[in-house]
Amino acid sequence: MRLFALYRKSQSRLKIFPVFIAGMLIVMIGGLGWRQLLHEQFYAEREEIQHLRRVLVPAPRGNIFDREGRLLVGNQPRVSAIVYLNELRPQFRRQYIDLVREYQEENIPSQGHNLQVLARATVMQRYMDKVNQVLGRQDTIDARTVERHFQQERLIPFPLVEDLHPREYARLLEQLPSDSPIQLFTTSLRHYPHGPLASHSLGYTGNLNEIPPEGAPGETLATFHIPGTTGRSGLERAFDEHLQGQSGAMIWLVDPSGFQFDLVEHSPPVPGNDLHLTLDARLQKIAEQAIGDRRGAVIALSPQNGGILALASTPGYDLNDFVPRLSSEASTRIEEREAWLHRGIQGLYPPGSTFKMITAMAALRDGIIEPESTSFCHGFHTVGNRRFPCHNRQGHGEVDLVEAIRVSCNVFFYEHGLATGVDRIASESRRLRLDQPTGLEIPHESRRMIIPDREWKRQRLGESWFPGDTANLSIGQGFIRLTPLQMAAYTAAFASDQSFIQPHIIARPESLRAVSEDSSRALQLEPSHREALLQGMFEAVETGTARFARLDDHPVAGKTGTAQVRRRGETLHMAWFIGFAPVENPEIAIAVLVEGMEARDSFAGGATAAPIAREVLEAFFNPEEASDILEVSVSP
Amino acid sequence: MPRKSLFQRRPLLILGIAFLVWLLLPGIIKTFFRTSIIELQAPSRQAASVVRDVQDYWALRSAGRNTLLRELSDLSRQNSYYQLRSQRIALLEEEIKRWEQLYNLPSHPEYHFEIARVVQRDSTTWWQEMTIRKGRQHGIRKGAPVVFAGGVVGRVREVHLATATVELLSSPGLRLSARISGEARPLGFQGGENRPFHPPGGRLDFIPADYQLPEGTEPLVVTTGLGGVFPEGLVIGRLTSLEESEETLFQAGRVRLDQRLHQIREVAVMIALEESTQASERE
Repeated sequence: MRLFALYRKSQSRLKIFPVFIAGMLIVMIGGLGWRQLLHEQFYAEREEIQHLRRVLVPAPRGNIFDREGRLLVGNQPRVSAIVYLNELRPQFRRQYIDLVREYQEENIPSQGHNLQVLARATVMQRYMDKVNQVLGRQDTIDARTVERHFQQERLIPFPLVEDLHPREYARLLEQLPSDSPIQLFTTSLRHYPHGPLASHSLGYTGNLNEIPPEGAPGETLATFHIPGTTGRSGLERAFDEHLQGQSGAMIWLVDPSGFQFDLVEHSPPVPGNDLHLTLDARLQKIAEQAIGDRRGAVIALSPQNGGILALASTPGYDLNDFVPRLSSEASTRIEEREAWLHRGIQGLYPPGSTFKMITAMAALRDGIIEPESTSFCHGFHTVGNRRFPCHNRQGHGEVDLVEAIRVSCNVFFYEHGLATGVDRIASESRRLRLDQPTGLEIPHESRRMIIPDREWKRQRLGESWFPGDTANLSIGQGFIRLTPLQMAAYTAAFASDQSFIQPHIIARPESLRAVSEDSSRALQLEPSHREALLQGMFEAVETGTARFARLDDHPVAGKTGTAQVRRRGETLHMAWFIGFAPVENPEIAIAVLVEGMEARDSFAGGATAAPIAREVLEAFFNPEEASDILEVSVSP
Repeated sequence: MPRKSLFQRRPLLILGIAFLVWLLLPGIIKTFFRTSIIELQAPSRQAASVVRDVQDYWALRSAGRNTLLRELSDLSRQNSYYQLRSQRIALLEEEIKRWEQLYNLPSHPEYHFEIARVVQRDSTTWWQEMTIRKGRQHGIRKGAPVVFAGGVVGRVREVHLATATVELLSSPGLRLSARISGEARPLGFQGGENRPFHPPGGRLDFIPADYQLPEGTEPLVVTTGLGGVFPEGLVIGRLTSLEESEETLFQAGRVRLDQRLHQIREVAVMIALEESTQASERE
């Protein structure tokens, strides 16, 4: 200081130095304070981001149960033999040194990185060989896969063998030392105890490489994902969020190489919520068995609350084929059988004679006919210069409304349909909401249904509407296209004297409630008119075209239909049955469609679809019947 | 404080050097030393075991005539019972073989039982092993299952000329494929729930989340036979409680092992007949 004082006296310019140094110190201390006190949070976060990594673990999806609490979709463990690369690092290093020495001794030029890759693959193959030895397999390690995993997913266990059979994991468990780096790692996979049952409706899942992080801690951290699953179709897709659960998270403190050092936080996954359906698995199985190898759909629902009891679409596919992933062979098989289509909610078909009920309703509502109105059937009806045939070429003679429904006389409906007109028939169809999807919770319900009228034809085909079009529409032929679900919903609504009933497959407390008293949904038909329609349907089942749907113990009301479709130059037959039972206080409504594939498939509503409906109705009223149909065998 | 001379520190120095040398020795030499020590100790251990047997013999000799008669009568009754059971088992085995042939099923491996006396037992919290008085010269093989009247004892870990070390069921190092009696699904058993002053225990993993412990009962846990080491149906213990596992798909369970594991005097080593035939052919 004395020296400094001396200089200060002699060199006044030096006075600037203490000021400068003091200034610098102030800046430095200020800077430190600014960074350490004011921006402490910022730096702490950056430090965390640099040293912490998050591993997201998928949660098991929720289960799906039927109305009786029977498991339709559950989870099964998927056991894999894995190794954590972190635990093998000393071996990687040793192997690398050995390789370098070996290459040097033999004067083989090589790059260090390549040797590292080779060393890692060699060590992994050694462990694979141990697994092979126990399991009698001959699997090999792909060096590129190891390297990709090492570079990109080093915190995730490396799978040596996935999808171990219980016998295989039992062998590994017993024959590998408990301190072996080879560990058994379990994730959950979807399990469908009834295989193809309700396959289209339940849907399937697919792999999801990045599982949803919602609710998991450490959202700012670099994240690794253990692959999970996501709903790809059906209810699995529609309720994916509900079923998905909350992913678990492991937050690791990592070393400078990015390997696990210490587990800082672990929040276990929270399983997804369960889903309870109105579906009756037993009835579903019976419906699927009844339709057999034929293509088509069977839909049964409660007219009291709209709850779907069975929603069968054939051909289906075994949902277990999608676990863990669908093979290309299985995919081709499904493709060839045209089994992807959910015929119940996506298939569009002309409703044939089942539509006559709507023609009759339109005519009755607008006073075009009365229940006593008659027609004389000669076996055909002439419109302009074209003959429209009845299915009974000899003619039914004089028929009234009840008889016309009983024998499904086309001529009666041609005549009165023409008198009613396309506008009223289309309007009645819209009143019954046949022009829009039902709104069932299963995704991809068709929106392409057609209720044709003058405007539709002009816009779509640029043509005028002709009386022949009305004649066709009166008997459910021509341009009209509806889904089996719409027909089932309309049948259930008619059974409960409603214009529309909302079908649903998810069981809710409201589903236990009786049909809405909302007057806007009431069918609003004169009681005598509705009575005549009911009588016609009852007699159709008792002695008419739908007699193969008759039950001994319960009165059934029904209507058959056989629609023709031109496809690939062939006329194909679509067999329909709609009905409900018991006629008074109905408990079940049903729609059956069987799709003809070739011209030689002589399907008819009465002979083909009605017997299927009878099997389902019989099973519904006899719950003890075939109660063991769903028994699932469990094998290790 | 006077400084200690190097001479005074000699014991510590030698110990340190020996420790360093031991650390630096190649594994093969360490194994050789260890095996040599075990083989050297074996005769003395065997002798001690024989002496214990002789003691037991003389203790029994001193029992009263009435006691012996009573024991004899009990044994005779049990003998008749087991003869009947044995006939029944023979019939059942014949039946199983017939069905296996009918359905072309792989036949179950057959074993012969090598009975061995226990020389030394260490089932403290630290070590879970025992030494038996049979070894390589009696056809004992590493990894062979060891059983007693109460079920599984453990697995042979090391085989010496005339002795073998058995890793007990209660050892954390022993894992085997197990199932709950009446259930088909294979689970994982691992020993190691050994608290001081408590009966030996283990842990059952991979119990499906939907499994419920029947109220008031402790179901048996038995081997599955799927693991390739232990045959099917050997008793491991009883499942006493369930606890939630971190893996939400499963539960874990506590297994109480047979109390007699701590007092076993004699065990049977199961040697697969096929294996022993191959071994004798090699010899």
